[in-house]
Amino acid sequence: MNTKQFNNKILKLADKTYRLAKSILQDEYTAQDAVQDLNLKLWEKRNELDKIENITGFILRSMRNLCLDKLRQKHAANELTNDLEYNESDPHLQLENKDMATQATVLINQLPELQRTIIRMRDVEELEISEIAEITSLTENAVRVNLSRARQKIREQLLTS
Amino acid sequence: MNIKDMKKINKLLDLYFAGETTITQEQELKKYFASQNVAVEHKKYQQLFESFEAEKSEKYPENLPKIKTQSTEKKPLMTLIISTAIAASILLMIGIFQTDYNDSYAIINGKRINDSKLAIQIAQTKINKISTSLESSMKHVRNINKVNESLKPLQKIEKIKNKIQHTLDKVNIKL
Repeated sequence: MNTKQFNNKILKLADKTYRLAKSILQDEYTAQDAVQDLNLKLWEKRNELDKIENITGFILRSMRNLCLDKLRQKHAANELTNDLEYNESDPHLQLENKDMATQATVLINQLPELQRTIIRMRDVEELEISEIAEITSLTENAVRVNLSRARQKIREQLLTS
Repeated sequence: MNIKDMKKINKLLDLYFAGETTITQEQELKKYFASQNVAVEHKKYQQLFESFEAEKSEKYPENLPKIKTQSTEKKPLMTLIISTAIAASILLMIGIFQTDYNDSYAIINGKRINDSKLAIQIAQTKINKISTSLESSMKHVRNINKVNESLKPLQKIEKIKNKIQHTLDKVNIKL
């Protein structure tokens, strides 16, 4: 892949990768760093990118893996090993979210990482179940189950609020 | 909204929350919630579908710099090689002219210059320029020395490892 193709194909996906990173990392600055880290890695491997059939899927999967690594590093640094699932425990984050976003966004942000990634890939990015399965390395059935659980939780909370 | 439409939206919502809607059906729901005709009983869901639309328009906050040239890393090395080649050829040229002829002259920019002082002066200026260029290129090479210097403490690890191994061997012998 030459420079022009890289600029046209990869850098154009920055909005998508940024939204995904922000959803996983729940912090816009760390998400911006993640986008730059990913673009650098992709630039170094630009010669191999031509061989990939679904470039958008590949890049979103790479972005998710990079973000999960960042989360693991952060949790290791904080000596928290079992809190990858929920961010509810961070009152500062919740307060920040409430100030800036709608109640629905806050509810999505409180879902476990996998569920909030899946619901956003489907409802924001409008990806097919098969594409989400590829990005998350899950089966299509597992994606459907997680999507349904995520939506059910949101529905319950919207109805009781 | 008539009863038929209401039933249709209710069915779509049930399918949606069960994770069984198609993208087309989901787009239909988004369109409905973006309209002015949202029924009172659906209002609670409205913000959810609105938040999806809002998030979709979120952009990466900065303009990512586009990549213009192939690689900037190769430049210092190329400059170094080219500068060295030019310097060598000038020195060679001066050398040849001075040894082959008693009446020394130099050809600079296509002009024959008999005045040895002027020729030397021009050559000196050119060499100075190349020398400056070489100097700046060499800076990058000098950085390698700094890296090597910084890596020195790492060599101690090997010594420590040997000591540990030595101690372990001793312990084994005693056991």
